[in-house]
Amino acid sequence: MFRHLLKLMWNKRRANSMIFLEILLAFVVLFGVFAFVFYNMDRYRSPLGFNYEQTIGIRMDFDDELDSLAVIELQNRIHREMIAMPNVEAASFIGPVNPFGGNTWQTGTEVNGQQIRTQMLFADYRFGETAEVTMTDGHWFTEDDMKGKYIPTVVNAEFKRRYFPDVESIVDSVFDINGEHIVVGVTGDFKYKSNFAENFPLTFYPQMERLGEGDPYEMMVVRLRPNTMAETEEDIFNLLVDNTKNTEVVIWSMAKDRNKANRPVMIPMVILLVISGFLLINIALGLFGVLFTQINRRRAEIGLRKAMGATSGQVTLQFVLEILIVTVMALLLGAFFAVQVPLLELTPIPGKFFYYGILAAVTIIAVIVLLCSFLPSRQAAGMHPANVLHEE
Amino acid sequence: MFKNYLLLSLKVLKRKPFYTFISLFGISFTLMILMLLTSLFDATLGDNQPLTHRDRLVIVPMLERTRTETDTIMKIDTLATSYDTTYTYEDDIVSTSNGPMSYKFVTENLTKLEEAEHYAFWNDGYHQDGYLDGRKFSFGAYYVNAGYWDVFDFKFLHGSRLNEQDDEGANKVVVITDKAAKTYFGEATASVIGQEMQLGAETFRVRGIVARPLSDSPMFAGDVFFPITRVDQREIDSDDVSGGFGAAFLTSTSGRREALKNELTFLGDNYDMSGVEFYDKMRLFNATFYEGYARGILQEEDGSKALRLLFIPVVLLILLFVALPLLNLVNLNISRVYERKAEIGVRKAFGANGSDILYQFIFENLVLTFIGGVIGVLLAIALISYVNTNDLLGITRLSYSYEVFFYFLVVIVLFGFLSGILPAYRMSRTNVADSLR
Amino acid sequence: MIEIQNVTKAYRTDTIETIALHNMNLSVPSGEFLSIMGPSGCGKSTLLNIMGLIDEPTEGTVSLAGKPITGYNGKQIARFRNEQLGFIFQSFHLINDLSVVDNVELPLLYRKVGGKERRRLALEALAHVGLSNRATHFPNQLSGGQKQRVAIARAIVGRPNIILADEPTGNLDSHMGDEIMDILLKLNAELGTTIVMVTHDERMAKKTHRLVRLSDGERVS
Repeated sequence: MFRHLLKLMWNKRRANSMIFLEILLAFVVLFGVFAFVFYNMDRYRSPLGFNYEQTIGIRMDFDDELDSLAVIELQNRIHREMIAMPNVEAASFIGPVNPFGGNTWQTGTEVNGQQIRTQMLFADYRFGETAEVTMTDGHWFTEDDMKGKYIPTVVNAEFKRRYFPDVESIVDSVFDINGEHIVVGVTGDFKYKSNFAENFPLTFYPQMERLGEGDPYEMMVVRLRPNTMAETEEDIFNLLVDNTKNTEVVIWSMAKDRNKANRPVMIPMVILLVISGFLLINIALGLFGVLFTQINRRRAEIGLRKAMGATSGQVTLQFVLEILIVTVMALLLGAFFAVQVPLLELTPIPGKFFYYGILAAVTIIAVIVLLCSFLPSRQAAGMHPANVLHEE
Repeated sequence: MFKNYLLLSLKVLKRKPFYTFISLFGISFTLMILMLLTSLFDATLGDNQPLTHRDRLVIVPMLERTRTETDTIMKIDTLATSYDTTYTYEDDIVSTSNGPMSYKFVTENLTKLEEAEHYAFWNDGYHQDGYLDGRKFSFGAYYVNAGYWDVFDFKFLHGSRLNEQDDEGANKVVVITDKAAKTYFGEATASVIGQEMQLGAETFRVRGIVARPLSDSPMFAGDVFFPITRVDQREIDSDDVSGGFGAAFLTSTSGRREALKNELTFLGDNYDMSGVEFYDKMRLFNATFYEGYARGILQEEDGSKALRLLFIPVVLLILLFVALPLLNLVNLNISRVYERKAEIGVRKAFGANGSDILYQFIFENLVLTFIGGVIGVLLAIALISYVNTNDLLGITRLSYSYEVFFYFLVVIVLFGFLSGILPAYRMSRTNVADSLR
Repeated sequence: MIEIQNVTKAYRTDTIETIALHNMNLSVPSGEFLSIMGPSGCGKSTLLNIMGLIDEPTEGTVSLAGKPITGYNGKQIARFRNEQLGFIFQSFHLINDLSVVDNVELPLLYRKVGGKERRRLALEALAHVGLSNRATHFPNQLSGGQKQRVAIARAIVGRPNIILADEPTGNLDSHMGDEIMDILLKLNAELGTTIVMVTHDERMAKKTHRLVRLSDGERVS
C-alpha cells in the first residue's frame, strides 16, 4: 500500500510541488524561530539570583576632592540616614556596574595554568543582604573580612562549576584575579545583565581597591517596603542632593530596568512568535482548503477504490498518508539544510538548540498536516460510491 | 467592462465564503505585518526629521586606543553610555580601550576637516531628575554645540535653536522636546518659550521646543538640550583624549562621505600619541548612517560588515514571512481554478479566449487582495497607535506617512498579481472539451 | 448467484421522494451473462449499484452466493466487494496518475497480497485482455477501447465470481465495443464468471444469455 502511494505521489509530483514548497518554507521559518526561542528560554531558565522587586537603583556624584576616608564617612552617613527612613528596608553601595544597566566588566587571567574569564561586579558588604543574594557556600563578605591579609571576594556558582568542578569547596582559596583575593563565599546562580544573559562566571569585589584608585562606589541599591517607591523617591533624592551637594542624582526602579534590559530579546521573540502563530493558522487554513478541494476532486477515485473493496478507513488512511509522504519529503529536505547550521557551526549558538528546533518544527507541522488532511479525508471517504461512479 | 468584472468578482467571492475567509485572513495578516515593518523601517531608517540629511552624514561615535604590552590582564568594560572596553588578546598582548572623545579632542582636532560642512558634538552621559509638586521627572540631558542643529534638522514646533553665542557665553538656555515640555509645563505651546526651568541647581530659559524624534538613536535620544559649554566643568578641563563626546558631520554631497571617512581614519592613525599616557596608537571609528545603525545593533566594529550581517538575515526573514502566505494563496487559487473548470469551459465555449480568462482571474484576485489590504491597513493603524501610545518599543514610535501608504499600495498590487498569475495561467489554458465533460 | 427480493429504492430529498426501483425481483444464477436495458432514469444503474453493494435498498434483500447481505458493517461489505465482485464503468474510471499495471493492481491492494504476486497477477490479467505491451503506459496514452480493456483487467484481477458492467461499450465506437464484448463473452465462457451488464445497445444485449428490461423502476420483461 505504502509503495503504491509513493508511486502515486511521485507521478503527481507537479501538482504536489506547491504544497511541498509551502511545507518546506514553513519548516525553515519554524525551525529558525524555535531555535532562537529555545536558546533564549534556556538562558531565561537560569535564575538572576538576587531580588530586584521593590528595589531602586541610584546614581550620585561625589566631590572628586574628597579623600578615601571622607568618602567612607559620607557613604556611612548616607546609609545611616537612609536606613532611618521608614520605608527603607536595606541599602548598599555598588561600583560602576549596575544590574540591568547594560554594562559589562570582564577580566581574563591565568590561574594555576588555567585561563579564567570572569565578569566583575562591585558591591559593598551590605549588598548580599540588600539584594537578598542566596549563598551556596561560605558567606557574603563582612566588614571584618576587610581587615584580613587578603581582600575578600565572592564568586557565583558558575565560576565554581566552570573552573573548579572537582574541588569540594573553594572558600578560603586565594586567586590572583586583578590582584590576590580570598574567596569567602559562593553565591547560587547569579547573573545581572538581564534574564536572557548567559550564566557566566562572576566575581564580586568590595570597594577597598577601587577607593584606592580614586574610584569610590557612587551607585546604590536600596530595597524599600512594598509599594512605597512613589512616596519615598523624592525624600531619597533630597537626602542625596543634600549630602553630596550635587543635583546629579538619578533614581530608577530596578524592576523597570529589568524589563528594559529584557526588551532587546523579548520584543523580537514576541514578534517572531506572534507572526509564526499567525503564519501557522494561515497555513493550516490554507492547507485545509486546498486538501478539501483536492480530495473532493477525486470523488470518482474514492468511489472506485470503495467499489474495489477499500473500506472508509483505508481511503482515509490513503489520503492522510499521501499528504504525509509529501510532508515527510519536504521535512527531510528542510532538516537536511537545517542540520547544516549546527554542523558547520554557522552561529555561536550551541547545536542542541537547533536540533530541538528541528524536532519542534517537525512535530508542529506534522500535527497540522495530520489534522488538515484527516478531516477532509474522512469526510470524503464517508461518501457513497454509488453517487459518483455512474453517470446516467 | 470594469463594473462587470467587479460585480462578477464580488459574486464569486460571496459564493465561496470559506475560501474568501481563508484568503482574506492570509492577505490581511501578511499585509498588516508588511505595513508594520515598513513603518518600523521608516521610523528608524527613513527620511524623517532630524535625519533628513542622513545620506550626507558621517558619524564618529568613539575612538579606540591601543597599546602593546606584556601583561596578561584582560579587561572588558562596556559602560552603555561610554562604550569603554579594555581587553587583552592572549597571543598578541594588545590592550584596547574604546570610548567617546573628550571636549578638547573634538574641538581641537575635529573642527578643521576639509570635507565636513557642519560639525555636531554632543555629550549624552547625563540625566536631569527632579520633582515638581511631588511628581518626578527624569530627563535625558544632551550637551550639544551650535552645529548640532545644522546636522540634525529637528522639527521645531516653537521657538528656535541654540547658537554660537550660547556656546561662547555658556548661556542658561535649553531646547526641549514636546514630551519634556508637557511633563514640565503641562503643555507644549508657544507660551512655554521664554519660561524658566529649574534643572539641577540652575535655572534655564526655554529657547525652543522640538518634536520628539521617531526613533531611538544615541545621537539624539535626549529630552533636554543644553549649550555644549554648560557641561560639567571637569569634562571641559580634561586633557585626556577620551571623554563623553560623540561627533557627527555633514558632507556637501553623499558622494563625499568616503573622502571624509578616509580623512577621519587618516587623522586617527596619525594622531600624535606622545602626550597620551599608557596607549600608543589611535583609531577613529567612522560610519555612514546605515553602517552606524547596524553597528549599534550588532556591536560589530567594522561598519560595512555589520551592515551585511544585519540586513541579509533581516531581508531573508522578511522574504520567508511573505513567501509563505503568498504560496498559501497560490495553492488556494490553484485549487479554486480546478473547482471552476466547468465555468471556464462554458465561458470559452461561448467565445472567451485565454487572455479574457486570464484577466478575469487576475482581476478577481486583485479585488480580493485589495479588500484584504484594506483590512490589513486598518489592523496596522490600530496596532501602530496602540504601540505608540503605550511606548511598547521604548522611545521608537511607528510612523504612518503617505510614503508608507504608497509603498503599501505597491505591495498590495504586487501581492495580488503574484498570487494570481500562476493559477490564472493554468486556468486560461483549460481545455474546453475537458472541462465540460 | 445473485438474488434480488422485493427490493425498493427511494431517494428522499426535503421535498420530494423519488422511487428508483419498485418491488424488484431478480435472480441471476452462477455463470449467467445477463444484460439489463431500459431508457435513461429507469433505475438500471441503481439496480446495478444495489447488486454491487455500493448502494443499499430501502426495502427488500440482496443475497450473494446464497447469503443475504443484511446486518453487515462497512468493513465486511468492503471485503465482500473486494473478493466477490468486479466492476466495469462506462467512463472507465482509471486513475490517470497511475500506470496501467498499477491501475490493474488496485483491487489487490486491499487484500493481503505481496508486491511481487500482485504484479504477476496484474500482468496475467493484462495478458488476458491482450495489453501486456502497454503495462507501463499511463491511461491518457491509451485509446478508449484500450482503457476499457485495462478496466476489465482490473475487474478480473481479483478473480471475482461476479462482474458488474455499467454500459462498458457506451463510450466506444462499434468496432471497439465489439472487441470489449468479445472479451466479456470469453470471460464468461472460459472462467464461468457471472456477468451483469447494463447497456443501451440492443446489438450487444442480444449476444448475452438473457435480457431484462426495466421501465420506471419496474421490470417489464
